[in-house]
Amino acid sequence: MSSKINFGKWEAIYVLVLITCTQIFLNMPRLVVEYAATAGWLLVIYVSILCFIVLWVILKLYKDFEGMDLIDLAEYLAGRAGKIIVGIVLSLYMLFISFVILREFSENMKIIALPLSPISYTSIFFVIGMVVAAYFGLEAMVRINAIAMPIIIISYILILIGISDHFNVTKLAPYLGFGAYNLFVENIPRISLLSGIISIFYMAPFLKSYKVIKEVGYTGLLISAVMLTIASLSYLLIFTYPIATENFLPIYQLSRIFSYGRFFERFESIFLIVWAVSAFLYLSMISFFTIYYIKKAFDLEYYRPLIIPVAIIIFNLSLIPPNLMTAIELENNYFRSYSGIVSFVFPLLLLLACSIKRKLRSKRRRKEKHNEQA
Amino acid sequence: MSIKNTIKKLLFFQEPEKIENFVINESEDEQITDYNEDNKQDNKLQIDKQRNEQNSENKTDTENAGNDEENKNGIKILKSKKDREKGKKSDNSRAKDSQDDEDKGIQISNNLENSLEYIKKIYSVPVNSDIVIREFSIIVKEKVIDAFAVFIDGMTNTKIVIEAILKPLMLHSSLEIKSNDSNKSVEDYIKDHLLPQTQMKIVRTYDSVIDGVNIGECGIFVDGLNIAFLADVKGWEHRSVERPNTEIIIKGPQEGFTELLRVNTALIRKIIKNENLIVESISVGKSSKTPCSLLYIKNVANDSLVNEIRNRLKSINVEYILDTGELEQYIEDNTFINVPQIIDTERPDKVAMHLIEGRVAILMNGSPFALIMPANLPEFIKSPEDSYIRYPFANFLRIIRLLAIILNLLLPGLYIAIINYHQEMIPTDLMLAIEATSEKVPFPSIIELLILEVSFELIREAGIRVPSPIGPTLGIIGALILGQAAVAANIVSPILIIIVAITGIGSFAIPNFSLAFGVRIARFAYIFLGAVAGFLGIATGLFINGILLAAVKSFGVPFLTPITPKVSRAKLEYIFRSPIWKQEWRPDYLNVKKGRSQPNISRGWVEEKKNKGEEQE
Amino acid sequence: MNRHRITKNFRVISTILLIAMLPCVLAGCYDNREIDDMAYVIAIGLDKGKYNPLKITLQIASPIQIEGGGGGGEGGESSGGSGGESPVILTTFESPSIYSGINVVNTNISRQIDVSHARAIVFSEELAREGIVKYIRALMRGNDFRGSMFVMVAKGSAEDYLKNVKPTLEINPSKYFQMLNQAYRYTGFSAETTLLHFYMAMECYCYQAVATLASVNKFNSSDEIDIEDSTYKHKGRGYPLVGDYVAGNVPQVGDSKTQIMGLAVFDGDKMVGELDGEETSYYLMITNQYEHSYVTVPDPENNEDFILLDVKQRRKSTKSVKFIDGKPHASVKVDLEGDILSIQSGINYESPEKLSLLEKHVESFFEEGILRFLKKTAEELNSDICSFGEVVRTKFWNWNEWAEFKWLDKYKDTEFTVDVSFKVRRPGHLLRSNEPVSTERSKTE
Repeated sequence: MSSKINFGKWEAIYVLVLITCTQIFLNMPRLVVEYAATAGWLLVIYVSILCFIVLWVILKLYKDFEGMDLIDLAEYLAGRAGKIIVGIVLSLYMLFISFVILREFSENMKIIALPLSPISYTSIFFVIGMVVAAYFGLEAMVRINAIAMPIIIISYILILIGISDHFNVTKLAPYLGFGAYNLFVENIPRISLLSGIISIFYMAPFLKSYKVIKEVGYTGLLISAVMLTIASLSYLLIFTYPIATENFLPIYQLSRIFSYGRFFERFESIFLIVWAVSAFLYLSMISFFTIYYIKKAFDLEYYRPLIIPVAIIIFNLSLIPPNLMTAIELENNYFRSYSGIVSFVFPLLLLLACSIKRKLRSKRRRKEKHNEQA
Repeated sequence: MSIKNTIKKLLFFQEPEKIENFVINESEDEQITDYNEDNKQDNKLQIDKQRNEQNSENKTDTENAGNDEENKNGIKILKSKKDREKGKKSDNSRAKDSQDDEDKGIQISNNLENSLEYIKKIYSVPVNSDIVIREFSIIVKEKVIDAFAVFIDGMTNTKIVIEAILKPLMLHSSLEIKSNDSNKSVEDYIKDHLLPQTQMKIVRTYDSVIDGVNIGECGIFVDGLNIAFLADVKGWEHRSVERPNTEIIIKGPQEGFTELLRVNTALIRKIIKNENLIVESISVGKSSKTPCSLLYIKNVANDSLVNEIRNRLKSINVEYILDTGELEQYIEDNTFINVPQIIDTERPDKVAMHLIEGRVAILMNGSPFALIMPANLPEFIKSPEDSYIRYPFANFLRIIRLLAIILNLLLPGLYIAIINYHQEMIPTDLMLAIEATSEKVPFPSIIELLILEVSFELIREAGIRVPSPIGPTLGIIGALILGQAAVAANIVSPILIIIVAITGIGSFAIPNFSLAFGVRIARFAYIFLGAVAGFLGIATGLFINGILLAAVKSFGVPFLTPITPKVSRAKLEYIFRSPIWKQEWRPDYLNVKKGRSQPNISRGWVEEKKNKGEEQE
Repeated sequence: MNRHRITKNFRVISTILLIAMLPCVLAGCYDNREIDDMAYVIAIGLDKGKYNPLKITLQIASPIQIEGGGGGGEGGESSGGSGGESPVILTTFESPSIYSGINVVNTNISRQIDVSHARAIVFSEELAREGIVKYIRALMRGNDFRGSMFVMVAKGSAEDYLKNVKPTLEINPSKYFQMLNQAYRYTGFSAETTLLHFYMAMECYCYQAVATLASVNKFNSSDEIDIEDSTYKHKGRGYPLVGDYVAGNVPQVGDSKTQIMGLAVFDGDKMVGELDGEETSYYLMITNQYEHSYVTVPDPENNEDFILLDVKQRRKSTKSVKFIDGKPHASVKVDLEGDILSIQSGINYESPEKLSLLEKHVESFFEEGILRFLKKTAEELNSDICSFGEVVRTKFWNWNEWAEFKWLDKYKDTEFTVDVSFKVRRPGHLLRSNEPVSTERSKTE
């Protein structure tokens, strides 16, 4: 499971896009409208530009440390203790998001397709998928991702093309939503919308060269930004402001509008397969990284014994919120607001600390060399 | 104790065995992760030049069996540092083993009587009625020497035995034979002058003689010599070269393999008339001692791949192997996956095509199916006819075949999912019609579907063994009348008949027999999942199926290449075939030695036309 | 004691079996509903109930009859479809709300009600005038009700309307509703009023909702036809043109007793008025939903005859709104084009001089009609159904300002200007009309 696994550039890009863009199928378009009314799409563009800048800074600092991921950096900085702390923080972070997303996707399926089944029944399918995928390892997951992501993206674009004659540009007015101040200043924490970019650090040890990591980062960010903008834009072009905040599943509502004649009328259930597959991919990827980080942080030898306990923990945690509204609140208020800190500020600080340490070390070495020569 | 052990094994974590999975070694120049096409083309050309230069200096492992120094030079370029020592040792030991095998056993004795008694005892001659021992005398340099020949009646061509062995030894030996060296030994004398045979071996042990006679050669013992001669006089009855039974194409050669190893290798040699095609001979099975041949093209196939396959073949330790089907199951990576990892085919032109691409083939005596490895998923969807027909038709047929696979796999599962969970998807007219017909049927939809699927499989299995006059009619009867009768009896609804029929037809459209089996099995899993959870179940099935396929490796090549990992050239090669004059590169994932198979412009007349056009202007 | 050699094989198989049994052990297949265990609702009618808030009528498809009807109709007959048996079942009941009503139905109907194929929802006029927001909300929240259902308002009671819906040309009543509601594309007498659009219009700050008007025909035989309820008098015409009617009054009798024509106009969620057929086509023109229809225009030179035109919309109509002294001034520009279908008077309008005369006459005819229509919406109905609000909204940059502006209250003071441009494209097959030759004519000459 170590250095033998090597990924191509596009496989890593697709992983990045998956982790950032799966939220389209859940709550993101509605959230964006809630924050910035009819200027939701502008908010996404603005946030992507901010994220681009932050990513540029992070990658610049990362140059000296190619091939190391966050846990390796923490080890460099603070030895074993740092490794364990960072490992625990990151795996808890991913554990949190995975159980919230598992709950939301199960509720999703329940509302759309299986209204009478108990929630544990729908969750079991996702958990079984997670366990099987983790058992077979990262390579298989990333490969399947590289096949499935283009299909998901194409089907999404097909939905949009199908409903494009209902688009009405005047629905975007007033163009600045709640006002310029609100849009540009109050919404800076919304950079957490793009917090999936941290997954570039998961992929770093498998990607080897710095140049590739840079390309993966920028291309992945660009594609995710485009997808998120298109999602929020298309949502706003059909549902105007107050109504748009009401829908639980924005993209599902969009696909409901899709109808051509009497035959292609109620086809949104076909798209359900696509969304379910993307849910599987996302959940298995995130839970795998949880397991992987626990293994790396504690220097364990095998990761396979961890799979079933982690799966059971995620499953049980996902049943804790008493209803759907609590789960959504958890996701919005805690995760989407504060994940920016873990995704952006935390690596930034870590990298700063590491590069400072490195400079100090090289200064020390130079001094020693001087002393030796003298 | 044992129940405790079972539970322990089920519930607790077992440390995995430390097996190093096989990976096809790349040369160090090949490890470029940036798939920039222009750069790589230039690089590849340079690499090819280097490789060609090196190849002319190198020799393969089998030739360099005991030569350590040359091995160091030869293998250094092709393997990475880690594997160098390992490979060297194992290759050397492997080559030495093959030599040692020949020298085991009891040495032949000088005394003819002893040899005769030994052979009679081993073969239980009076009881074993088709072993023939013919004793005769030879005249060598005016001396009369006794000799006998042993062969198996029915396995040898008696005419050749008479004409080429008995006649010259018995009659012509008394003729005056001119020779340069009058002090030749008897053995050399007989071999050089008295046995006009194309293939003649001199062996020293009884075991070799017995092995030879078992295949159909004729063993000749001469008094006073402690060696025996083995003459190849094989002449057993076999099927002639006919059309292949399983892979029928319309446009292309219509020859198929037979059960004789030599005939099969000859069919392939007929197509690849190249001295670089190596046909290595390996014997598998302790009792049956079936001869197998390993075929590859020396300057194209990757050495580590060939070594790995040879290794696997030689390490099979069984009593007998009868067919390549069994051989396939012994050497494949994953027994429990429902897709095959080795391509099996009955057509020599398909084998030749794969050999030229850089793969390795195995032929076995007694089986008309050849094995080709490594295999990956898109290869199973290609039919051999694809290169022989024109570009538009080939791609059209590929799309139809893909559609057939998808229909066969998913259609019943999707039907159950829609009918039981997602009724709103069906257009209202159709749905009311389905509901009206379902009214009369007493079973729930899934039971109906399972009844029909199982009966279809039964009919399929029975149709293979039905005696031929009734065969075709049973197909028609089964389809029309039984289906119609079932609908009229209100056992099934008519739309299900259509669904099951389309599914069945889809499975016949899959070119490869083994893959069709795999898909048939997976279909039932999808039916179950669709009935349990609708589209969520189908999505689960697709995901798990995808993960399984992505994790399978066939001889070091991931099964889903070239879909992923992406290779640098030929973007959609796995679905669409590019025009034949554009197929310039061999598949990258096989890490072949000679990458380019066509130059940039392979149609010379196009260039001439261009030049002419410029002149005119 | 025997020592079993447990192979890896067995372990793998047993784990697979255990996992495979899991979903079944959870007593799975909850949502597995057989297709013939459900009853599919085609249309829902909501009336004001006497003792309960609602009286619900459900029109349920009966597949056996549909199939039997289909089989019987194969002999080439096109009318009278199913040999006497109706392809739908009707059931009416009183209940406090939609969902509890659907439960009650099962005391009578044997199967589980499934509304995912429902095509139309019909409100009675009485209920519509009181406000229907609570019912619309329930429909939008449920997963089964689809946004593509047609919203119709029945003049009279919805129960009567649904009782009288007996499709003559279709076996499947769902197709009847679908085709009927899409007929606006070639008649111009109704509009696309799906549930989703209705809901969005209801909640939007910038425009108001409409619903299709439907009714049972008043007349029972062709002798009874009269034009008493036509609106032509309000329009200052001497005779009714074909669009001057509302559903229920259309001078038509036939085997099918129901008809749709006109729109019901809503202010918020309450119905405030109606539009007749002609006004509906103007509404369609302004909101860019108009495809084509046959229009009858009085002849400019000969007052007794008509000119028939096939009018299409050439370009999207443009709206603009200006604010002068706080009063909104709205202007609309409509571009139409048409083909001449018939010139009853025989006057040669195809020639270039007369053609421009004809075009100007038609333009003034439309301008008058559209102006009248817009004034009605502003002064009488006070409901901005043509979505002028969308144009006004683009002038704002901040949502809060827009919300405080309250456009819909200001709508009633709007002054309108209309500009119609009409061009004749083709005269059909005849390029020139000549007089018939008869002895009378030659006598006068």
